[in-house]
Amino acid sequence: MIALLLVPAATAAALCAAAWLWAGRYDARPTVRLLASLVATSATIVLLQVLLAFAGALATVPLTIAAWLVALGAIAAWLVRRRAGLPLLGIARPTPLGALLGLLAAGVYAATVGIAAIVPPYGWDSLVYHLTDVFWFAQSGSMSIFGFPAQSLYYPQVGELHSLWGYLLAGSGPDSWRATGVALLPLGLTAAVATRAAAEALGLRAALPWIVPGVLLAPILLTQPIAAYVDGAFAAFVLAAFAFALLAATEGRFAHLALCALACGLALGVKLTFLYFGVPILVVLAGARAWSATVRGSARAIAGRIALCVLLVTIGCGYWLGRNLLRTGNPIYPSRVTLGGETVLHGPKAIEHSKRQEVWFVPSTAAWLRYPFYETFEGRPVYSTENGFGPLFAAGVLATPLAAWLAWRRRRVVLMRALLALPITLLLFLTVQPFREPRYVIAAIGFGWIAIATVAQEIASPGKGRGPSRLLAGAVVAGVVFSAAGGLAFAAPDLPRVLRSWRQGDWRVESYYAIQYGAVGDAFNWLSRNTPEGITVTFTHPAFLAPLFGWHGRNRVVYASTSGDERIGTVERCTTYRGWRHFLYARDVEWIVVWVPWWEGEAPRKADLWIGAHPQDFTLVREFEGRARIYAPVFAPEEARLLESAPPAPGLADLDSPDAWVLEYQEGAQARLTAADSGGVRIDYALQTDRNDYLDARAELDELGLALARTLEFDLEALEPAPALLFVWLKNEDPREACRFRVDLRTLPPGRTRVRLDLRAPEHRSPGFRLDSVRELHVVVDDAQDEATMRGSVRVSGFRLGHDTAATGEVLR
Amino acid sequence: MQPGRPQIEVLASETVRWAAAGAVTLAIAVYLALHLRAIAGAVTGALTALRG
Repeated sequence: MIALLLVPAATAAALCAAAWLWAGRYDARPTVRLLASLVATSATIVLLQVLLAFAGALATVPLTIAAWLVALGAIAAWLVRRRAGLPLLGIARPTPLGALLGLLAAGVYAATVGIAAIVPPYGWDSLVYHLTDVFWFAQSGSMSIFGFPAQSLYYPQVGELHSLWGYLLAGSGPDSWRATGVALLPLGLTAAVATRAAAEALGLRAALPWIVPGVLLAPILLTQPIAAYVDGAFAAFVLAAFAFALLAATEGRFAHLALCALACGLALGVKLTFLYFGVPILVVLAGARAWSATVRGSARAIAGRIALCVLLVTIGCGYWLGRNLLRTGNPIYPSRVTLGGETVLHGPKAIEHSKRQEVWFVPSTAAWLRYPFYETFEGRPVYSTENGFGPLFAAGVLATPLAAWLAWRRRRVVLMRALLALPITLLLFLTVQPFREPRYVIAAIGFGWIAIATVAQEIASPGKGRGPSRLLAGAVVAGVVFSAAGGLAFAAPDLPRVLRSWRQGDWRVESYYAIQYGAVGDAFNWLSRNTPEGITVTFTHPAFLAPLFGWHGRNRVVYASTSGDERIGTVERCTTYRGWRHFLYARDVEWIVVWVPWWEGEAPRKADLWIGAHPQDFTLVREFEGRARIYAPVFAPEEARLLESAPPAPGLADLDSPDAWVLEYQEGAQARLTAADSGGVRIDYALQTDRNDYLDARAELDELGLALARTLEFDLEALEPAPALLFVWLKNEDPREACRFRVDLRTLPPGRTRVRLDLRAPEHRSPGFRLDSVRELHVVVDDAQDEATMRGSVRVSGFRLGHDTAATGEVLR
Repeated sequence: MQPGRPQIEVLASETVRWAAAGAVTLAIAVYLALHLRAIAGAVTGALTALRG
């Protein structure tokens, strides 16, 4: 691990050293100077990779050369333009307590690197998308979007670029993936230094020796990087922006505001949630003093300063927001933003609130009140990648009202605004944040420290007894030591088992995946071991994309979306089995990896159903205890000859095969789609409850010219009649825009009936529905009377469009 | 505390200062008490494993 980290660490250190030299001109105070250096280093890491990606040269050698050129160039330029009197280091001697806590933090971080040496990046989200980005960017030499329709791949990737830094500078070799998590570890220091800078800006000196180790040793900041999660990076930049905002609010210098803009951009570049979790920074800046230097001078000078701030914001997030804006008109694509019923930003993904995550931590929303004092995950007090703020956060929550009262009594407006950061963040967490996991608000740890520091400052009044201060210091030290011990003990799940194996000398780093993910973890490693030179792989389920690249990162991972995938981006889409076979053939896919979801409520993927329905077309290469399967596609010579020609255009004729349909909903119903003996699709259904039961079979229709047609026609036969209704829905890309036709199966004559639906006269039509934008056709079987239960069977076939206006007299609706 | 601002004795009473320190200390103590068993168990497990 040390060999792996040598180049990334040394290069980042060189950049930071160069930034430190220049930052002395900005501010000689060591904490502020260090914070500026750390933020500037992160900004350089991001900017260099974005620029190299534009040039298609995002690779180990160009990045190493570019980074060293920048670092050495900056150092050389500083030497040439050196100013007399600026201290090279200027760091004050720490207090004995500060030194001891600092040594503790250094020791714990060394141990954390040691744990990261034997535990690979294992986080669920990391294996789905954080590391997917890393492998894909390294493989493609660019920052193009990986060809899979997932919203996470469109969002800003500043956190991932820090992991990519570790990966590329570790050599992009077979072991480099192990550096992707630990590369995020230094961002804990940014968070800690930022919190201390904020306290310094407010003149809260009494707690300064505790703050950096106190924040660094918050359990979640130790556990997150090992898993390659990026919430700690988000906290780092939020707290940096907070500190610079406080400096601007207390001192009024434009340079503070400029650095605040840089940190805001980086925070937004890690997570778009900064759009609301950044409110505390606006609150701090909501005073005239913060802007006094910015609005001084001529209009041109003011415009120049504002333009500089905008430019600095864009360093951290401009690439992604700009790309999305240019391509889709929505900077936060694919999210759709609706305000007061009006869609402000268009996108295929609605922002939906869910309580699925909340119940991992608390039994009810009200229980968040006690949560800071009793941090539970799945019913037990433990730390994880998702939680673990530690005892000092509990102290900060309790101290906040007390500190606010003290600030109010002293009429310290800026301190009051700073102390609002914690309640505002927690309020936003409970109201605006769609998914409630504590990790999204790690920055609150730093905000809590401002309250502790305020109380500590007040009770350390000169001329008074030192008892209260000693009591507080003792409690804080106990809390910090407890955090450190807990953070290390929970640094990774199943740590004792890992340590035991490691001590016995039979530990392989990748074995951890089998511990964490069982047979699926075995599949990750098997896939990696058996593709040393790299092969072309595709997959059916959108989980665990990163392991498909192989830990060596050499596999080419390709994907064609099918019905069931969200329509995000411009990923190749196969609506029929024929089309998917063509994709497999044309892209030389050697293996198809099927993850079998064991988690809640996942419907089978269309491609899984296709594999199941056509076993002769695939060879099972390996199965992993029912959790994962690897197939190889088989192409008979005759099929291969057909597939050599142009890809088959999807058409309505494809709807005669069950391959084109997917059962989207079965509400109180059970249904089966099969090929009918006499052609077409047979739908066997049972509507089983005394409530509204229905089934919904969906097929995709792309570019079929419905707008030019008069009717949509198909054959319908009740093979086993039942008192049910059959609805045909046509839906646009936004499925809320739809029209509906009704056929009463009770009135259907025996035998086959040709149904003609007048496309201009549906039974129901939403206001925004457009025939030229139809993307889906649904056949819904619904019980005519809710209380009835029944079994039935219908056959549908022969879908086509009718253009004959004279035939409309026979149209059924 | 803030340059140019007159000092106001907000926590003038020794009792109030003890109470403020005590309140924050109590929060930490409650937290430690509620998590002690879990953290101690995890630390012991890790140390035992390390000793082989």
